[in-house]
Amino acid sequence: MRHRIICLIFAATLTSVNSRAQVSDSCQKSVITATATGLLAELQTANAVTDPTEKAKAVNGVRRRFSNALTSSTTLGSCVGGLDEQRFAGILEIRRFDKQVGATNGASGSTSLVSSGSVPALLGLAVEYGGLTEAFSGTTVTFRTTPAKLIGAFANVYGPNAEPPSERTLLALERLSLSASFDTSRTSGASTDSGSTLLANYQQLSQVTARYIVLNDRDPLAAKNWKKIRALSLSDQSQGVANAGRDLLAPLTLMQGYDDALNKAMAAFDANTSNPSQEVLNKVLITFIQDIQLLTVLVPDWQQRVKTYVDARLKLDASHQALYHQIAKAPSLTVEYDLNRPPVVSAAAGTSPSAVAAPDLSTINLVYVASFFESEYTFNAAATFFNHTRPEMSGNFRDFRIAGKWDIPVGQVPTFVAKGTLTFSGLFEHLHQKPLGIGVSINDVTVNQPGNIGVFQAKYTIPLGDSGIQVPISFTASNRTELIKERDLRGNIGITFDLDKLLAKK
Amino acid sequence: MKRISQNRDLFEASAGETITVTLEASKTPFQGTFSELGSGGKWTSVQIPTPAQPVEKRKFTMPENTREFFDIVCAFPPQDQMNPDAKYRLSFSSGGTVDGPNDVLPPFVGDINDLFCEFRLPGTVPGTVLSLMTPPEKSGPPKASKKKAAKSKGTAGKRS
Repeated sequence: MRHRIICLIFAATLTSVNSRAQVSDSCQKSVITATATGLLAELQTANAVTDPTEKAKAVNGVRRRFSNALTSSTTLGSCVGGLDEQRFAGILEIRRFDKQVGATNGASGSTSLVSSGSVPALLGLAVEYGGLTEAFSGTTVTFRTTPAKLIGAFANVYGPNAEPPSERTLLALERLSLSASFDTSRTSGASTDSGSTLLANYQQLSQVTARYIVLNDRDPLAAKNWKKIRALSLSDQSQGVANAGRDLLAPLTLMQGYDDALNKAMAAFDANTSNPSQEVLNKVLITFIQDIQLLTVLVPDWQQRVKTYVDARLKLDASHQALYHQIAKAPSLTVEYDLNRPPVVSAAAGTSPSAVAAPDLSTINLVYVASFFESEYTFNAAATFFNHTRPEMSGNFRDFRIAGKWDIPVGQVPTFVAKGTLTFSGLFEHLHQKPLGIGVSINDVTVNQPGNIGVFQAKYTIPLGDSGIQVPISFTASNRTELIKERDLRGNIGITFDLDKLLAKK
Repeated sequence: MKRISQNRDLFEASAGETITVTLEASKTPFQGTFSELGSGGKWTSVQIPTPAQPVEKRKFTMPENTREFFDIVCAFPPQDQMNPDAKYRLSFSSGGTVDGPNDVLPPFVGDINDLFCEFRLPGTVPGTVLSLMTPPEKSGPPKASKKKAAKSKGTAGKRS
């Protein structure tokens, strides 16, 4: 009797294919589009490989990713899960803030008053317009990277026989980051006018930074975090997801129809690897999901299995997010060395030399970052020294500064803009001697005023969706600047690019 | 042990054959979880992961008259906290035969990737709708698995 009923259901299923086999919007958005986009990018990268063996290997790697995406419980739960699909789709996104992509606070053209504690793993490029603690304005381009990444990127240069650095060396190198900032306004000689061509030469070099992370409890691989993460993987929640994932696939894989659908999808994928398109990949994924939808009708307790899986995933995801959120908010301590090259200053009146090159500056900076509920605070303490002295200077010591910053995440304003970050920061600086080390006159104003400086800044940083592009808008007030002993009010707007995110999208 | 599909982790193995499964985390903290065995059999732990050697190795014996299947969950840190080169490596071995290691990369969506692995006895073919009418395998509906999870503590599920 049961046999007959199931056969009837099967027959009914086949006759109502078009009316029933629908792919939900949440599945389309959360899984199909994201998967097809990722696959397309990876296939394009694999196809660009010139060595035939390596290319075949790369394409095969993408193929495995595709089959993994098709057979994963995530796809089943969010696309063949009926009522639970939307509930599940909600957990498939992440975002976070705490990287400084622009120049650090010493360089001209920075909209950042206080250095942040971490940097992008890949090259960071930022172009910001406007001045802050320096009186010069200009466009600063910053290149930032870590030696560990460079070693990885250039591994092929040294050939396959070159011995790679040890894991321990790489881990140590990953704590080191380097950056170079170029001020594109330094076009020639004494000019500080707003040029815009990046030459990346010594003349435009405005800052070099080396940063080493001394304490980094934010690293998931840190021993302290490793134990917590391992404990989560041994928890009942993780075991529940593994068992529920197994129970989701178990009845489907008993049916020949499952492998038929999978083989059909993989054959379609194989036929399009050399000339892939988003449209074709979307279609292959949708067809596979529709084929599986037909099979799930034959699994009597399918909805219960999906519900159990989604419940388990939501529980695990909550714990997973909470743990990594806790890790992301852990304290970190960074030591930073900056070499700043002040621009050649031109004097408008004839009271001082027509072009004056101030000594280069070295700064040692300590950055401590920690959290307070959802917000994050940062403390900087820095001392700056002139790299060489001149007869009229009183030693190498230039200044001491302490600064604090408080980042507060705020909600959405217009709906197309993701959540932003409101930042309040303050800086106190004791300027021990003439800011440029020498007496200069700019626009008939003498610049030789030691003393104390206070700066306050309010900044709102708006990320444009998940594109990796951010727009910082800042308002800065100070009792004076280093160069001019007058109160200063300034508004800046800029744009920053996080290449980690931009490249990840490709 | 013989791979019988290039499209998923589907193998053929003889009854009584011992199969070793090795999961290694690379550039990511070990956050892998093995489900219990679908046949009701027990895992035997061979190696537990440590920070210095993030490798979990366990083995099972192929049942006499039914397939074996299980799920492996590989979790990754959220995108912004993850090393871009993070991955797991999964391999299966039996006797002198080794399959893999194959990379398990972060999923395109979410933080959790999972792999369903199936081992069939030689000569068996997947069923049609009729296969659903055969006596249910141990995996069964989720409520049962909760009980099993509690019971199995102290066996191979007992890891570091």
